[in-house]
Amino acid sequence: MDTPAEPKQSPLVTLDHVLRGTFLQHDTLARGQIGVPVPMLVRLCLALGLLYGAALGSYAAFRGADQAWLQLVASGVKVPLLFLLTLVVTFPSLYVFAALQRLPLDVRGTLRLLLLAIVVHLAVIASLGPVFAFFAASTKSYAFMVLLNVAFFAVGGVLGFMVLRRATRTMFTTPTPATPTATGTDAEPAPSPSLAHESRHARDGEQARRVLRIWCLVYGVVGAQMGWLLRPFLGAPDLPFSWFRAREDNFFVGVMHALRALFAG
Amino acid sequence: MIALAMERLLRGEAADAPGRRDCVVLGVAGSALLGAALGGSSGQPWLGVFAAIKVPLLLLCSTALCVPSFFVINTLLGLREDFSAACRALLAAQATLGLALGALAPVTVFLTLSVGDPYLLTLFDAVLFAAATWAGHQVLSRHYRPLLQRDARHRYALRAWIVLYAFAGMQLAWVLRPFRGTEGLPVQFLRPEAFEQNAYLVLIEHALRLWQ
Repeated sequence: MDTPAEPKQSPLVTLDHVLRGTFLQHDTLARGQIGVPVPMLVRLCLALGLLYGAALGSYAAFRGADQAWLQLVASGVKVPLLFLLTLVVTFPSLYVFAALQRLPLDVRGTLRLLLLAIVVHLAVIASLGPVFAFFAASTKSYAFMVLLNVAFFAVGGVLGFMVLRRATRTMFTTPTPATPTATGTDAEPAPSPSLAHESRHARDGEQARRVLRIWCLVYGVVGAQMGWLLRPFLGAPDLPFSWFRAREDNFFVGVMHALRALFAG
Repeated sequence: MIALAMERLLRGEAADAPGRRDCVVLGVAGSALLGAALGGSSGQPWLGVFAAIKVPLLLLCSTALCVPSFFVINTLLGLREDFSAACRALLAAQATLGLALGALAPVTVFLTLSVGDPYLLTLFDAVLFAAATWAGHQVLSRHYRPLLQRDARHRYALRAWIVLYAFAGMQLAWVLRPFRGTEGLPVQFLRPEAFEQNAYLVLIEHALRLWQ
């Protein structure tokens, strides 16, 4: 499905439209159109990821970790990479499952919708960046900062998920049918319009929920593990700087370790 | 003029709220007064000066840290048109918080002079801060009423603000210690370990120690 020529907008104006949900109107979504170019969304992902990455890397700088400036750069690069690589890995399956559920978006439309959700996720965590940097400056505990990062990512994820839920609901919502005017006495009694409408609504809602459940499961698990593979984002103060750590355990074991370190000292 | 602004802030609805400058003046003056009372009543004038700077700083910096997220959440909820009204509500609430803190300054001095136990004093400080926060929340609710009538989603933005503000504010208050003098410790603007400890971890440690 071709989208009409989109007027060029500055990144900030586009970000504003993304956050306001301007691109998720029923009339355009139902036609499978999301009027924002992919390169612009990718640029926004890079910029917002860089901002939050810098906040993450500031922990190494404040704690005087080995080659802290390099950690700052590494975190700034790795946060957008985490999102974009997760998208690369999961996009084919996300598209296939969405198409199976008859999501009215083509490949490009699905990509744009997922990028929109990622931009929202990144915008939320970037806006929490000052809070994270403040805690990084005033907290010694590595485990606390790891868990704070996980919590902020989760908050961003929930708000990104809300965007997807809104979009799928909008796409699957059928407009209310007009009340039939002609009623013959000998005609078969037609099912009540409100009942028919309700059942269609329930079916549409179930379809939307199914798409979301599959997307969240696939994207969430891959994203968490991708984050684990790309670590360190913070840079433990007692370890030398490295771009990547050895491949051991998994994200969930890492979170359990951090919780244990926090409560058991 | 300030008295009139104070009356409008405490009694008025959103439409009668005093101007931005008056709100800032009231909030800063009130919180500085409490700071001076907290620090000065322990008999160390410099601590009074430091605390008079730090209490307004606590309110201002906590707000500054949380405003970016508040903006994003409002925009995501489709409440951008009301953002300036929401900010005015926050400003009025902060001004009320500062004003209430200032009004509680004589109580603080009285308690400092009459209660010897430092732990009990800390507990009283917490109660006074909670009372001032309640006052701020009253004005916040009053200012948010027309916004909530216009759009119920303001409730989520307000909750998000309260959670984030409390989360960041508590750590900032911990960083900005001491607000009152402790026997045996020198008068300092910030403790040497100000940027080392985390308020929540200290709380967990205390809770675990009680448990064991």
